Amino acid sequence: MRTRIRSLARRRAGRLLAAVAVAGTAIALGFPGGAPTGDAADRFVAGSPVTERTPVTPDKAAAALARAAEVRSRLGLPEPAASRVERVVDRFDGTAYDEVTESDRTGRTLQLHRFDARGRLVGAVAFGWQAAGGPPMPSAAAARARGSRLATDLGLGTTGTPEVRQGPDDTGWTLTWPRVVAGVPVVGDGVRLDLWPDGRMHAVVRTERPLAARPASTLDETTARARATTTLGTIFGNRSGQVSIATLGLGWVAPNSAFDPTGPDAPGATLRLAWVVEARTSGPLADALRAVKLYLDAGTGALIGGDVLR
Amino acid sequence: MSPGRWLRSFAALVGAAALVAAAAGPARAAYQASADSNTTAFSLNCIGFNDAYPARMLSAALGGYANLGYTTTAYSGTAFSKTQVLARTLNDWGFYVHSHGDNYAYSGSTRDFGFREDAGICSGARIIFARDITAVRRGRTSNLVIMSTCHLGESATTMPGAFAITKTKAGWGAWAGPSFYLGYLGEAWDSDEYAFESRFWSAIGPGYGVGQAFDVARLGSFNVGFAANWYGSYVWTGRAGPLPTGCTSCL
Repeated sequence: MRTRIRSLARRRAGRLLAAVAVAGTAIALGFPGGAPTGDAADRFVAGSPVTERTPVTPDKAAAALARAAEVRSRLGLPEPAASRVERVVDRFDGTAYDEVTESDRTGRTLQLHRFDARGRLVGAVAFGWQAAGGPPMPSAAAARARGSRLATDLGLGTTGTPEVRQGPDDTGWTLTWPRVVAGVPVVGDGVRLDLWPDGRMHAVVRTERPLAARPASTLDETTARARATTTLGTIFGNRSGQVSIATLGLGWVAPNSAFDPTGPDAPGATLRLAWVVEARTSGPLADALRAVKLYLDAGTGALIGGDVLR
Repeated sequence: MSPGRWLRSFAALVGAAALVAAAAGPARAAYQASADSNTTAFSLNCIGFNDAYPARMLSAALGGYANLGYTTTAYSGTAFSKTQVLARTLNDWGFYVHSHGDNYAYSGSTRDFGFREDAGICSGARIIFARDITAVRRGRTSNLVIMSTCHLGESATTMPGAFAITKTKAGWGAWAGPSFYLGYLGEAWDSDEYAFESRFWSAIGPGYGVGQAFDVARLGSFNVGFAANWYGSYVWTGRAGPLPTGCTSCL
């Protein structure tokens, strides 16, 4: 037993040393320390359940069921034999919604609907694989027209022309309306509508996370580019010649600890304005890394997260 | 602490996690799964920073497989090599890998889909091609295969066949199980894969089968252009092991 305790203590000390080393390196490179995502610190641990579910009060359940019935009617979805309403907290994104899960007489789950605190539809799925159905839509234009009508019917608040992509193996269409606030894209937010090949709805998701206040002043593009070049130089050292900035633009992003293994496992729930820098690699470095994204705080230029493409 | 020592500490943690995950799984027959994650190529001494995602995705995969009854072992660093993958693949019912993936040149003008080993090296890691796995497995069936890489979910991918998974989608009233293959289209950023996989593993098991878990996972927030694909049986539970021959409705 004593040996086991000693072994555990040694392991714990090793982990502490590793964490200190990583944090030290991160600080030396100018990476955010501690809990860069702030509100994500205690929310989610990799490998743990993403959602927490609790029952709702009868009056809330009744309201959610009524909304679900309306969605079902607009989409022509089958009547369920049973419905369940739960309050769901998404610990990964820091969002919460009421979820209605509908089943048939055999207990098979047919579909689900999600509604936010304002009662708006924020997610829906018609379960099952339904590639076969009516005549397939002949073109992207037809899918765009069909999807736009559905989005209007469902009150998704979409504006503008959606991007349209055909699914792999001709399995349907995906339409997206990325969220843009005052001309600045909100990365990961927007409305997405998946259609079966014949135009029926497969899934809909509306993501609209909260935004932090804009910084009092924003770095201009020239300064942001210079800051990005410096940061890339610090990270890649003598290999920085194999990295070049491909795109740079303002965006609302969820801060994260992509470059800090000791940081929170989930991205921040409140998005911040940042210069989003995508740098592509070449030469031998491209063998290990295709591209990297840096999120530089729009006000201070501090690194608040990023992404990796391998 | 040097990057090498940090990686060794990480490898020790991974090993411990594998044992914990295996111990936490339901007491079922030992259906083997392997979970490989390329950590070295994304560490401080190779690319200038420590990419946090590979370890997080490996944790999620270990927990997910354990919940489904697989006896799972994790490999990264030098332990995740082409030799190790091919030595274990014959007995793998589940297989997860997070690494580079592409339709690589195999020989001359011949190309094939594959992924890179870790092997503890920054560059020049060997590619494990679908045909390498096919040559060992020779049609042996598998359960749950997840390719957390770029490109291996595309229509042309040869990787499902290596695990004897037909590239069809069997929905309600159909049965192509007990098997499920998950991969991504085109270039997939780590943050998107991580968010998708976290939701997939969380949804699978308690009430949802693999296809429903896939649909639920797609309700998360992603970069525009991120897309996942699947083949196999929508209605299968994901639980380890074979099912009786001719079973068309049992989950």
